[in-house]
Amino acid sequence: MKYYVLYILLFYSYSVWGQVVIPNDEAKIDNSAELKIYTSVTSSKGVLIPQLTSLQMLKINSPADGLMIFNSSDKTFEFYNLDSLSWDRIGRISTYTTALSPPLVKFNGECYFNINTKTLFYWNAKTSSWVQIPTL
Amino acid sequence: MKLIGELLFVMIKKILYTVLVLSLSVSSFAATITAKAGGGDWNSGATWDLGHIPLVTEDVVIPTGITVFSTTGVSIYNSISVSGILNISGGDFIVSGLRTITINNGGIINVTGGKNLSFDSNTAPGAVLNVNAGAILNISGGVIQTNTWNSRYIYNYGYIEVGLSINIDILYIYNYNTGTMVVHGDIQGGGSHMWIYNYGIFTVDMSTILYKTNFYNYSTARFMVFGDITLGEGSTFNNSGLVQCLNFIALSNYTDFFNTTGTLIVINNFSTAAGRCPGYSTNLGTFYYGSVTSLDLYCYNFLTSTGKIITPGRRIWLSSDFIGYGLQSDGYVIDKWFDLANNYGFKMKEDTYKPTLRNSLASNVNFNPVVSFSGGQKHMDLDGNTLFAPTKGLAMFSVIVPTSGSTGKAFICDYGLNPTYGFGLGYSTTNAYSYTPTNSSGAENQITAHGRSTKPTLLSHTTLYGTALNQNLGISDGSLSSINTTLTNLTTIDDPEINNAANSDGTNGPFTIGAASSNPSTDDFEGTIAELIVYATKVSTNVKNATESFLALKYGVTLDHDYLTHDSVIYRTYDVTYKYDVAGLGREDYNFLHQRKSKSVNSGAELTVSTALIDNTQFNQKSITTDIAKTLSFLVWAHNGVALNNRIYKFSDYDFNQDSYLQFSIAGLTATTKLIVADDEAFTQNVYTISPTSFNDPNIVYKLPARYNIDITKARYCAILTAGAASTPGVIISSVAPPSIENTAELRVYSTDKGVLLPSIADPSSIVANPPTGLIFFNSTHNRFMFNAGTPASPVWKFVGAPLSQTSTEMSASPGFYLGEIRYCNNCTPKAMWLWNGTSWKALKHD
Repeated sequence: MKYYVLYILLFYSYSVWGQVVIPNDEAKIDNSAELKIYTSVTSSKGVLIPQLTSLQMLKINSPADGLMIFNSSDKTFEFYNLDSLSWDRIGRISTYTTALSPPLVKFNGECYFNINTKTLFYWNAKTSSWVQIPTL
Repeated sequence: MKLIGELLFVMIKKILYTVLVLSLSVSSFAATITAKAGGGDWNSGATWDLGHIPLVTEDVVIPTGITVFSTTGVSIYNSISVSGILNISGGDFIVSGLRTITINNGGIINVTGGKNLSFDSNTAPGAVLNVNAGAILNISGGVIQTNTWNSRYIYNYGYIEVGLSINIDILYIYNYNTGTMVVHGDIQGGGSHMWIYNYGIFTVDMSTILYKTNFYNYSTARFMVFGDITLGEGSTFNNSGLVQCLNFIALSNYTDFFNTTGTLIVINNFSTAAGRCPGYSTNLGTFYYGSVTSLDLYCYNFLTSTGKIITPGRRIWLSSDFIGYGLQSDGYVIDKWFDLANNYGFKMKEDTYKPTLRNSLASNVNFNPVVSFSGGQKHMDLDGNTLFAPTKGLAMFSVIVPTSGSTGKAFICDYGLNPTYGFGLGYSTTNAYSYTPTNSSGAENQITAHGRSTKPTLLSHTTLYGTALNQNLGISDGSLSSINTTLTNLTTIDDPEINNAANSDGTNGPFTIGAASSNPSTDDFEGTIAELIVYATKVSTNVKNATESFLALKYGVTLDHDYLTHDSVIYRTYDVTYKYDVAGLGREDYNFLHQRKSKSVNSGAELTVSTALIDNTQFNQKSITTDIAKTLSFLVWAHNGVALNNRIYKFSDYDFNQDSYLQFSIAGLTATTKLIVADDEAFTQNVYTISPTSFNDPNIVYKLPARYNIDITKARYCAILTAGAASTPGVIISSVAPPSIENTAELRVYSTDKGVLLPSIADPSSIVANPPTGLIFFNSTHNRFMFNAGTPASPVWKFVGAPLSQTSTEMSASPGFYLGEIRYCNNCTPKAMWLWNGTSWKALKHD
């Protein structure tokens, strides 16, 4: 499959593929995955996504919503948030205001930061409420 | 004291207003008499529209374009408003009664023949002389005087020259920012004193005595005395601006001395009478001196330890931005060029050889005027004065813009007969060169130069006598080069080495600027000279570099070494990466440096920085009204030399506590192009983006906010966020036709019902050796994504989104990346999770 990618770049165009498995092995297709990358158990490999410095990241011309890169300056994964027009770290804590409260989709241990009160909350499923984590 | 001065100013204004209203109400009964077209004799009725000589009750008007003269003096009883020219000789210009004299923009009053401006005994309190911006009052050979005490006011926004002294009882002189006053004598209040409030330029071209005078020199002001200042009986010296003189003599009976926030430069000797110590506690301010004389040991120790000694002193210092008379108009033919080193006045004898001041968009160098020596063998000299370098060595520095000229030698300055006798500095169509007398074991240094360019060029020559015999010539004009010569036996440059008598042509002075002293007709320099500094002694490496730094900063020339002040304080460290198109803003009162706007003079430089909103029609520093707040503050920038779209600029600020405006002239930007600023060149620390203040293709302006208390180890990096060209899309993986092509993605996986699976690994230790930083996989043991946050050699596997673990030092140095970020502090008390609330880290409560 690597050779396909090389081929595409050589001809300076793009191509559309459906349900790709890397390395190419149709037996490994998973119906729920548009793209599946697998690796051997004993000699494992991961995935590299584009690595950009902060400056290179900020210079991307009109990034797509959800575009993901690895920020090599900060060693962190970031995605473009088209709502806030900013690059956000994957895994960052959400922020809300008192007026605009967090969404109802909650799970145990989910946190958010209230910008108005400058305080941190976590979701307590047992009591079904947001609980403030006090500072010392 | 400044506050008191200002209060007084307000009070005076109020009184003045009342007086003016009173005056107007009285004057309203008076008739107006106006000079007719063609002008003529004041004392002829035919000159005036009312057909008679002006009466004491009449208000006189001389309109624009009309010249009136009087050979018997003029007395003004009511008022006079001059927009044309009034030439007075044969008698004084007498202000009598309660009157207002106004010289309007373009108007001139000349009082010649040794006659005076007199406020006579009939002058009531409140008589006012207004010299508006663009107006001239020239009392060429006389004084300003009063016969009796009463309050009189001079408000100068233009130009006043007084041939002799000012002898006044109760006079208030306000010399505002745009005003220049030139006095050729003493400044003497009468029994009831005189007050001078200077906000502009006040020049005395000889020694002067302050007698019963309170001299307030405000922060924008320069009080330049080309001679000594004697602080005499009943006088107060209150400086918060810049004062320079040759010697400063404080007599025993002066009243007060304050230099608290000012800079006082005494080139030679500062002396004070027994029992009087002008400087005490904090009121000495910034004080430079050649030597100090005081009978009081305590005072001597205080003055010498608080002040800064000048060593070595400049022997010649000619600067185009201070010809002396404050006239900055383009084309002004220079009669005399004041030597800021306070040793010489450079004067020309014949009009045809006088150089010309150039002050225009086309000729100025880094927003500073220049003096043109082009055409007609323009040159100037020291009259009969000599300039030897008898001990230790010699150093010459000059900033020039060469144009064309002979292929032979062309002298910027010359003394003696090159190269056998004397010394000089030159720049011809072929070479830059300098020389010391070859028949006394001196040498000539040459650098092939003119082919390089005709752009602003900094030349620097140093000679050392004695055991470390050495001579160096350096040139900076965008590229840099220098040549070093080892001398054999040069020990002095004095009369025999110059051989003045044998080699001067007799009509031109021995020391010449703009041509050879022995042969000005052929070896004349073509181009403009912005500045010339000569030390008639050796200079240390620090002084050499400091002098070059000052000139380079002022004229936008790029140097290849540290930038430092006269006091050897480094304000910009040489940076091997960021070394291109260096320019800066800065203020250093000792050098009269106040650079409010700068752009590298190198071709292709695209960045202009100013303390104020950038107006591209402004070509002179002095028209920029936003000052640099304090002396010894600098903002210097350079870039890394890569292509414009990836260029990074480094700003080194040294105590520069104010906003600045950055204008980039780059084609192809848009009104939304932003500037990114950070503490590091990777743009990770204190990153913020700035939207343009204005955009007028190709000029885009950003405001760079002040950052306080920064030291030299810190710098800011800026880059323009020029959006890259839309990229070629990469690979799309999708079972259906995607709705759009995302040019910013190398890989796009599109689906509305499927996801992506990354390699699922149970244990990172199974990953092959040397995994690159950023390698990501799904950890199936913990059911979380993991990546290498370390290096290939020593991987650190972290969960994506995991809080950072840092020391307290690391945390205090780094604010949160986002509101609500949580970090673990691994050496804090308590070792706890900490929350970033936007302003500080707060420890979260724990058991």
